[in-house]
Formats: sequence, structure tokens, C-alpha cells
Amino acid sequence: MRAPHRTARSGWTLIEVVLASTFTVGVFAKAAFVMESALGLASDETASMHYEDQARRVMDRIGLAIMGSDRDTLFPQIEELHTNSIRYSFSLGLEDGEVVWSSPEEIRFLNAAGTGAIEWRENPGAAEERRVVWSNLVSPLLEGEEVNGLDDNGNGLIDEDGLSFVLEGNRIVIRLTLRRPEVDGRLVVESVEHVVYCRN
Amino acid sequence: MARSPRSLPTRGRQGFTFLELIVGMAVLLVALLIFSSSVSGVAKQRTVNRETNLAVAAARNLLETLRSEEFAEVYARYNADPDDDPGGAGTAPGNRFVVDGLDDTVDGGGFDGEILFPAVEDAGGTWQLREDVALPELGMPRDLSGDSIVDDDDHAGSYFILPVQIRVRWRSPIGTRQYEMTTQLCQYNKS
Repeated sequence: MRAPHRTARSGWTLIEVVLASTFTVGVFAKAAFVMESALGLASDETASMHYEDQARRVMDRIGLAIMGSDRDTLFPQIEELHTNSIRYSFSLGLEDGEVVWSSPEEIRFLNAAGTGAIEWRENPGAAEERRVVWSNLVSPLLEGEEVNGLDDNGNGLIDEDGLSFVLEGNRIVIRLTLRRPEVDGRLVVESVEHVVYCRN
Repeated sequence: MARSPRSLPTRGRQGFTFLELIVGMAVLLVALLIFSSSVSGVAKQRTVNRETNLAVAAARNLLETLRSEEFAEVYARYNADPDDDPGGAGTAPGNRFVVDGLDDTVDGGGFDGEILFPAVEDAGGTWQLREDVALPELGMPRDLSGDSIVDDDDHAGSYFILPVQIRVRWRSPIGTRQYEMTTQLCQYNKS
């Protein structure tokens, strides 16, 4: 009697199955790890870039608003100390040889229930006051800072808010930190710094 | 006579061989490598974009700072020569600056940024602001003192217009990067 021909369909040996399983599990685990890492990184970077862009846009608006003002008419006038609001007027041009100044405007930081905002106001406090919120993602404090009477982030300022103005000679240094929790609980924080010279 | 099932040809239904599995996995690995390298490339590009934003912001901020200075003192305060600083030797910021967040190991010395004027160093080691230097990127040679003459005098104390270039160099994930901003400063008459 002929012995059955088993070689062609004898399947894998146990060692082959173990090796193949280990290899397959390893490859798919690595693939899952790479995919998760890549997607996480991409998500972090995208959120970070989005808020950095937003911070720079807001900063440009603040810079352009203050740029046309006169350094001597800014309020408050405290040198080297930080403030979270600034009031200014800008030059509209000349009339009969005299500079015509705009209505007073103010950019200020608002902090309500842990949520910070930047508010622009025209004719602040007057009946015809207009106000616009430029951003409502402002961090209560500047990045790295804590309310402890110390300069935690090493920028020379103590306990500064998420929006701070510092008058240094003829220039104004503006610092802004935006902060927002993402849906997965991560906190995205972006800070920008801008220097403006008052042109008028 | 019916054939025994044991003798049926089994070639078409025997599944993958070990070799086929290895080849399949290798293809999968290569695909994975390509995917991860492209993700890594995108991440690098984003890092470069972020660093470029930092460099641009630093250059703009420095330019605003130069504008805020007394125009007649800008060259003396921000040139490479510490001896001519208005407040005494070495008291001015000088021509190098640091940009937080950038790798400053390109040129050594811990600085990322540099301020360039149309200046040349004479044989005695003194820097001179000159109209006759050939620096096309700064629009030179040109008249700086407003007398309509391009000469070889030192105009450090008599410039009417001041070409300036702010250059930031840093080491990024894709190699050494550089950002330049060039402008001309002039006396700004406040109303």
C-alpha cells in the first residue's frame, strides 16, 4: 500500500507558526505605534501652528493699532513695568498745520472665570463706546508665569497677565499667550512677542 | 473508480508559505517605512516653518527697536565696533543678538542674529561707514550723507540715510537656515 503523500499540504510546523505569529504581531504592533505617534504628532503640530498663527494675527492687529499713536499720549505711562491695557490715540493727518488725533481707543485684557480675552474699545467709557473682542483664547497668565510674586519665566516681569505691555523708551514690548484645551484634554499654549515703535 | 481525497491536487489551496509571509511582511515594512519617513518629513517642515516664524518675528522686532533709537546713534550703537558706543566702550547692544527658540550653534558665540551696515574695517581696526562699498544687497554704493557725492569718507557721524540688513542664521533639522531683512532707515520727523 502506498503511503499517503502529505508533504504538499502538511501545513506549518509549530515553530513556523510561532515565528510567523510573533513576526506578524510585531509588525502590526509597530505599525499601530507608528500610526498613533504620527497622528498624535501631526495633531499636536497642527494645533500648535493654528494657535501660533492666531496669536500672530492678534499681535499684528495690536501692533498696527498702536503704531500710529504718539508715545507721549499713551496711558498708562509707567516705564519698565507691565500693564495689561493700553489707551492711545493715533494721528489722522494734518489740518491747518495741526495734527488731528483720533478718538481714544483702548486695548485691554479681560479675565473672567479663568478665561482671558482681548478687547478693543473705541471711546472707552463714553456713551458712544464701541467694543470688539479680538480673541477669547488668552491665557490668564503669560506662559511659564505663576502668581507668586516671582519672575517665573525669566522675562524680567513678575506675575504678568496673558497680555502684557511694557514701555521701554520709545518702544512698546507686547507679549501674548494663547491657551486652549483640545478635545483630548491636551493644553495647547502659544506665546508671541512683538515690539512696536510709535510713529507719531 | 473514485479517487481518494488524499490524492487530490492540493497546490491551489494550501495558503501562504513561510517565504510568502516573509515577503508580504517585508513589503508591509517598506510601506510603513515610507509612511513614517513622509510623516517625519512633514514634521521637520513644520519645525522649519515654526523656526522661520521665530526668525521673522525677531528680525521685525529688532527693526522696530532700531527705529525707536535716536537716528544719529543707530550706527554707533549697533555696529560691530564697541569702541564707538555713545555711552562708552561696550555699553551698546552691538551687532549680534540672540533669538530664543533657535539653535545658535551655526557661527559660534551663541548668537543667531547679526546687524549689517555698509561698513568696512580699516587697517587700524576701526569700522567706517562708507558710501563706496560694493554691497548690492544693501543698495551700495550710494550717497548716504545727502551731498549727492559718493566718496570714500567715514560717514558714521554724517549719514542721512542708513541701509541696514538684519540676518538670522540657525541650525534647523534640515540644515543651516538663514533669513534676511533689508531696509533703509532715515530720520523720522515726529509731528
